[in-house]
Amino acid sequence: MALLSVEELSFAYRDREVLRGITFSVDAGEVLGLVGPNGCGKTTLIRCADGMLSPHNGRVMFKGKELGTMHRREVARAMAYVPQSTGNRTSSTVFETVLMGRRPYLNWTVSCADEDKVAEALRLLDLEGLALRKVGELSGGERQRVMIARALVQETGVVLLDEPTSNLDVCHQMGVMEVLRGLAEEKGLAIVIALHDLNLAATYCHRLLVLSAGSIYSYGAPEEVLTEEMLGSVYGIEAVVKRDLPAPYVVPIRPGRVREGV
Amino acid sequence: MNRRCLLALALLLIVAVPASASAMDGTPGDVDGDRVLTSAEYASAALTYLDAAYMGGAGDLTRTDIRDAAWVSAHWDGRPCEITDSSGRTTTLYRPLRRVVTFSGESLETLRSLGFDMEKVVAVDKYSHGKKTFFPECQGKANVGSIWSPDMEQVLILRPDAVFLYATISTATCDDIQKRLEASSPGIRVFRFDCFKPATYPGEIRTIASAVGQKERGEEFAAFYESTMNRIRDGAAGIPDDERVRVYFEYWFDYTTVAAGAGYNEKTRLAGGVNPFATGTAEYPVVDPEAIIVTDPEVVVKLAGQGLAVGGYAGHDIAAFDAIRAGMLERPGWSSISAVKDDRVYVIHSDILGGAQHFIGTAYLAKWFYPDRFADLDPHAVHQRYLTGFQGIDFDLASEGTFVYP
Amino acid sequence: MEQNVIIQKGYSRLKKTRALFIGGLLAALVILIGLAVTLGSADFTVGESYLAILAGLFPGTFTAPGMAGIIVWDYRLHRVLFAVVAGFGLAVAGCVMQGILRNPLASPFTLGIASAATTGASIAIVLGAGVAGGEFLVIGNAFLFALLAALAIYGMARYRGIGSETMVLAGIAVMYLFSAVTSLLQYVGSAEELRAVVFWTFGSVDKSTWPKLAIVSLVLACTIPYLLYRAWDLNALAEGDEVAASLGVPVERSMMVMMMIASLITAVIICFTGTIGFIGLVAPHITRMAIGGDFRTLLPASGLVGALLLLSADSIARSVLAPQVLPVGIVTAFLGVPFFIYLFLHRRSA
Repeated sequence: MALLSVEELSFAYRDREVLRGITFSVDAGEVLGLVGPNGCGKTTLIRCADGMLSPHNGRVMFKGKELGTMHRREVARAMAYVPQSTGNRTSSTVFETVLMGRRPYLNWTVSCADEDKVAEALRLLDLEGLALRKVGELSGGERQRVMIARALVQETGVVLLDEPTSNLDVCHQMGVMEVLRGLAEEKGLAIVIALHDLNLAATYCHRLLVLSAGSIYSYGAPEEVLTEEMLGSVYGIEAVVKRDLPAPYVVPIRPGRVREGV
Repeated sequence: MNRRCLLALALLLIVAVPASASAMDGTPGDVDGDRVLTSAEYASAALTYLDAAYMGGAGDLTRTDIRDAAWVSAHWDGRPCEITDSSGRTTTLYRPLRRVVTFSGESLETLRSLGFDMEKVVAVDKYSHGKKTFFPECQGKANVGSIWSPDMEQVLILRPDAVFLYATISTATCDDIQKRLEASSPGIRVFRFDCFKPATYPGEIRTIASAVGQKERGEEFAAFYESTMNRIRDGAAGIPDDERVRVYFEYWFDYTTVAAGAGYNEKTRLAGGVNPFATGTAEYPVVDPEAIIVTDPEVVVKLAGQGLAVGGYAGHDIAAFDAIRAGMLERPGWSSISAVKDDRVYVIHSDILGGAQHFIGTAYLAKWFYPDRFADLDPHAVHQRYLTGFQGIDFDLASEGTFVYP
Repeated sequence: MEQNVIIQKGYSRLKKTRALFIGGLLAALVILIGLAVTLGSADFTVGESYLAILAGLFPGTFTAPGMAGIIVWDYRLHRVLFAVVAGFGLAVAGCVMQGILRNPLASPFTLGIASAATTGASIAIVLGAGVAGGEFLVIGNAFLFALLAALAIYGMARYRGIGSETMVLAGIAVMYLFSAVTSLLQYVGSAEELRAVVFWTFGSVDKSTWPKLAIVSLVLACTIPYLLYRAWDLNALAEGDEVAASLGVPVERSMMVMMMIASLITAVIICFTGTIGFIGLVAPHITRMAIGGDFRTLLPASGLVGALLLLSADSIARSVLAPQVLPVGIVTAFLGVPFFIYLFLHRRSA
């Protein structure tokens, strides 16, 4: 059974329809990449999947249970969310920010077990040296890793990330994706990542979901999904897809016609 | 026993140590509790005291008690004094006042006019404390702040038997002070008197006079006050409406006049003047300069004092008054106003128009408005008599202070 | 594993620092209370003041000299305790508001609650109209209008979606509305009434009484334990609305409840004291700089800092121009100056 499954999800902000008929599922151990141009609805989809927004149609299910029927705390133990922007907190230490991820399990005091888990997550994301530094003093990339660490200590089955690598250098980009893929496979997590970098997505995701103007353009393995037609009609660019490496990679050539409806 | 004996006994007890005044319910010596101290009761009390003090007998009256009893006999006819203050509350006094605190300068001034022994005033408000020329004897007294910022601890520590507050202004604040005082010191008497309103002042003079045992002096002072004010009222009553003088009364601040509930407006009207700008509800409305020229007042009066601090009791400064007046005459368009053409522009100080001396200022106003009708009114003499005869301060109007100009 | 131990040691050191900080604040507060009780224009010795306190608590064993008992118990003691309690409450309210609005400049005052209370007081003073009568006219109005402002903000935010930006905007709108009404009333009123209104806005602890102290203490005793209980949610909200939601915090409901509680605490204090500013702004800031943002310690510590600040300000207000007593709100306003200069100099570009 899929850990996360979305059926016929539709969402509108007031009168503007943002998502239409989205259906997909993510199994344990799978990494799903959400790709698409700016404004196609990736962030909205992730928010709906986490239960932050209520769709007017369709449903989101965790282990077969509909999200709407679950208690808030249950949802928090089931799904973790890593936001796109890194927020403004300056006076909290890294340790405490990551500790926040334990909130669905905490009563009031923090146990040793909680502290251990935080330390473990910090180690995984190469943040140990920064544990007692204030978050405001870190670089953008370091802050992003702190957010991911927080999601990890939440010990959920599903992790939703909204462009977690946009501020990272190439070394850390790969490092984070490695960790995520490793966690998915070791711990059986279902991971959904919204990504801009198509090549990164192709390398590390098991499947890709391409969104275009609120609906699914294509859904499947990177080899199937990343085609020159897709790049032309969804992104409006002319590109070449090379297939001589383990994962396909996209080489943009030149911008093409402007897409309508943007 | 005849009066002479009583007097002798009373005189025996002249020297006494002032003791803290605790208001016991009941006149000291009133053994049968019928609220009348008869001569017999007094004599008996005095003898018991002497016996106890000098002959080793038993008795619980102190020297102060006997002095108070003598005083009550002499001034209140042996009966307790019922005082109804200006807030309508009635208090009963069984003893003379020995330690008084005044939060209002007007009450203080009135007490002095009535010949109250200023030694018995133990503390004054900060404004009176600061008036070195007018209240020289208050410099050494304790300072209890003001109504808005009272030093309650200071008041309590002085153990007063009476505190004077205003009756109709700052009522909420005064009520609060009264409540706190009465809660902390149950014996304390709080008197609410304004002592600056023409309508209520004569009554207040007489009430306070009886409270401090100065009925004759009180009557004399009230008569002095009433003679001036009644002269003004009667003189102004007979004036037909179309002959009434149009007055532009300017407050301390330029182009601000008085209206509605302001005291200065009331006094202008008392003196028979008409204030065409007194419309609306604001107390001190700002006037459009053009409106002044259009209305063409026949007399212009400018107020000096607090907001325009020159002259008054604080200093002899005719030049400053002249400068103020000259400044007004130079205002654009003013040369066409009747008041300027007839040379009827005056400056007056709030010291004699507000507060307890308002009758002096009102007299000046009346004389300026209708010099013929009030030819026999001499405000200067009234002022000097007030200062020398009633206030008892050494202040020669000819050489000290500036109150009116020209 | 070693790294784990180092990290955990570091965290427990942090916790210890916090505990020490709070302990130190408590000690300082007790000392300051002891000092403040001896201040006043009646000249007793320090010993006489304490004797008077003891005599009030144990009337059989101790007797107070002269008027000392009355002055200390009727004028000084409840005033000092009221300053402590009011400072605590205002600081906690400010702390909560800064947390849920994620704005370090948020305070009950920037949200218009104080302006509304002033309007209520002005209506009572100038128009003589109000919900309660007699001596509670001004107090009742001030309290009612403060809560009205909170409800207005709630209503506006509900309509546009509850989030920190909408609440701040709504708060500013409310503040301007009520300020305008107050100005109008001040213009219409007589000189006396104007003076009374202005005096009210200065803020002072002068009018404190034992019953008022009891009321405020009761409100704090009911609300602060609840706030502490929800400290983790406040921590989560500080991370951002979305993150907090994904961590299982009922964001909208929490924000509204916290807003209401902070408004209630503020209202019940300033209806008695008038508008005392800056405590709600400065105390949480100072505390946060010292011990970080975990609300489990930030709340009580801010409260203690606020209590210390207000009591110090009141003690200064009573002594600097003795025998005159300055309204304490004026002294706290001066507090704001070095604070903002500090912020101005130490601001790193965000």
